[in-house]
Amino acid sequence: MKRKSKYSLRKSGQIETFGLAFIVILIIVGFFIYISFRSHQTQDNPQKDFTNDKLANDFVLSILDVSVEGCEVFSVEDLIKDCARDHRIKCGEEDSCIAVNRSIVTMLNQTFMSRRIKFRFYSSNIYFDSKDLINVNYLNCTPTSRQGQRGVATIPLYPAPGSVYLNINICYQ
Amino acid sequence: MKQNNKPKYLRGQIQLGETIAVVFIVMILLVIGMVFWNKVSNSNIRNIQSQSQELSVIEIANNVPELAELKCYEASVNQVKCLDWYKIVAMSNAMKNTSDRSAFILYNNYFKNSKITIVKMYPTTSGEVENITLYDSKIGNNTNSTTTLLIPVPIHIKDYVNHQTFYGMIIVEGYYVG
Repeated sequence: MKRKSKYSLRKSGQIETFGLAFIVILIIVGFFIYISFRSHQTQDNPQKDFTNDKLANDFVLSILDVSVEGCEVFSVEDLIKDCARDHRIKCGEEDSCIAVNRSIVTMLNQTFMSRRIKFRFYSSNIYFDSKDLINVNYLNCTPTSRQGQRGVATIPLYPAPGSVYLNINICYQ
Repeated sequence: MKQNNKPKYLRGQIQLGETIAVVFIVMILLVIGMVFWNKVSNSNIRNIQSQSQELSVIEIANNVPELAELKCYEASVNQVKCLDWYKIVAMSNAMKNTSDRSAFILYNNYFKNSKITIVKMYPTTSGEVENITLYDSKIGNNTNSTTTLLIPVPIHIKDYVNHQTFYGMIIVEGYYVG
């Protein structure tokens, strides 16, 4: 019977060792891939999602009926309609556009800025001094930022044609 | 003839040593794996627990603005995102009534371990916001609980007597131990 030489035995042992090392390396690499995958996974945060959703949607719907400070007989919606149509209402010395702008900014301040929530609030189809009536970007939340929850309120200007839109976008932190 | 002094059982001993070493390493790997698995499953359980707590507070925050006991009605039609100020005051008084706990016990089934506050924010008469606590489970026996979750919900509040509408918020806080 032919016996294996010392050289061939050593060689096969080396190959086995390399195979074992290769498997160990594969396992370690796989483990690290798994760990990095787990750490990059964004965790569900239902409370934050719900809160931002409620804040965005309910804010624009809630402010419309609110009485404006300084002329309590009119609501935010009344002043927006007047600002978009005929500028008849005066709140003290203020024009309806200035009064509604001030009141909305105050409510934005109490709701979002006090909680340091990034947002963008803007109006469409309503202008004052040839600019949008309201355009507030808080903490650099711009149209190019990563957008989160959003809310829109539509105010028809009937009997005049068209509608005014109040939009809010919450940006991700 | 030359005698071979090398012991014949040496190679077998090496193989036995190898086997023991392999078994030992495998056992160490198993123990490390079990510890790791245990930690992962524990953190998963904690996540599920905190998510279920969050969901229960979300459920309360979703339900409060829709309570018929608080909503505004005009010509029998309920108003969107609107609460009646006098209904809020009446409900708050009923909850705080220490001689008759029936209202608190009834709403405890719905609001559980939470605190619900209604805040009148704009316009303000004195320049300060006005708070009213609608329900607080700490009024009961739950003194060891800690607040962990808070959800604000914007609403408007109608004062039908003074013909004024306020911007406000429902603040729902969940009380949980730990």
